[in-house]
Amino acid sequence: MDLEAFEARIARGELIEADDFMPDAYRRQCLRLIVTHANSELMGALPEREWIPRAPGLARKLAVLSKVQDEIGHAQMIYRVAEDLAAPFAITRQDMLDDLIDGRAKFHNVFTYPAPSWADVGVIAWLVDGAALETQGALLKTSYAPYARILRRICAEEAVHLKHGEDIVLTLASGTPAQRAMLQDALARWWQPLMHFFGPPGESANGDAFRWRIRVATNEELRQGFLRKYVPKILRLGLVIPDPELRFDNASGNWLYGDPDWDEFWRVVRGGGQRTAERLSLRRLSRDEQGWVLAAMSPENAA
Amino acid sequence: MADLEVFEVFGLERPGGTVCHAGSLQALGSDLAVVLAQELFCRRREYIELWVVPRPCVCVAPRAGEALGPAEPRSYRLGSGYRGTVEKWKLFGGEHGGDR
Repeated sequence: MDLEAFEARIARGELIEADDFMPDAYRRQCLRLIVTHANSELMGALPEREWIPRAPGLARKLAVLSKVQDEIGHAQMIYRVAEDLAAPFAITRQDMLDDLIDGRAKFHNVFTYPAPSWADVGVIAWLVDGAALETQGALLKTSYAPYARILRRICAEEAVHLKHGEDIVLTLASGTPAQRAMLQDALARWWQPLMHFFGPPGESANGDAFRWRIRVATNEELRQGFLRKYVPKILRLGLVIPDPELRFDNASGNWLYGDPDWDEFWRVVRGGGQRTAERLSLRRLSRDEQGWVLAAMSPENAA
Repeated sequence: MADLEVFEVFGLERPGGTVCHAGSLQALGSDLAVVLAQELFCRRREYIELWVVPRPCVCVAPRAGEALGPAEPRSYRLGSGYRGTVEKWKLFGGEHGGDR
């Protein structure tokens, strides 16, 4: 089977399974997208993990704990999909984790920021997970079937995280002036990372990733979907979005916004995020200190 | 480094249901695979039973690009192949089929 026949399958709306023929370029593009997603689930657990012992009350501690457990579970399931894709290139999960820890592979920008207050946890679970659901919801239509399959389960769990975040935010928004101020500060901190979340506008939708239906929505389409859903809710809570140029344009049906400093975005993408090095070193510590567990359990070490 | 194996996980959602593919995992041996399967796929009580199968034990029929089975239509295997019974019942009285 050649490229032409493969593209004809894609054009007919068929889905590609792990053991189907696929061009190397398709495999590489899927792999990059999927590994970045797995890395992001793994790294995304860290800002919230810091809050498990500090969350107010047992119910909130349990909820944050279970969210962190979900994210790690997502990482496990997505790495598994990536392993099957990577097998012909002789790349293992260990290689993927090493690439992440050594800074050769990317994880999502949004997980390089600190979460200094409890309100940050609410904003992350509501708006960052809301943004993630926007991206992952679109990817349910990806042409790579094993990824789409696992995303159905992941999206269902992310939707729970979103409700959990919404609950924290609503509690703070209806709380004391100090709680409202804490929430407003957290929103101000997270607005720029949220605008960066989907990447810069103006990308071409004619590239291989779109032609092969690996991706189905552009950065800007995803960002507008997010803004349409969440800006009205944020404003309804009486919060101030820190962008004086943000307004709805009736003619285009889009939200217009000020430049969210794309130079900063690129600086973070290249590994310069506030917490990038610190969080990667935490992962390095896990790998280096827990490797012995796997070694001890291996059959060659059995008594 | 120890050799991790790939396992396919199948689950039963409710009594009397059908076991369906739940996902896939990597583990060191079947005991740990079962523990990890419960951690990964049953955090919300999704299944009442799990089958955890080493991937090489799953034998897959070659995919045809369409549903498997005999190529030509074989209506005699399907209920829809016997729609004529409605007309035939009319020979035995009444306006409708045999169920009235």
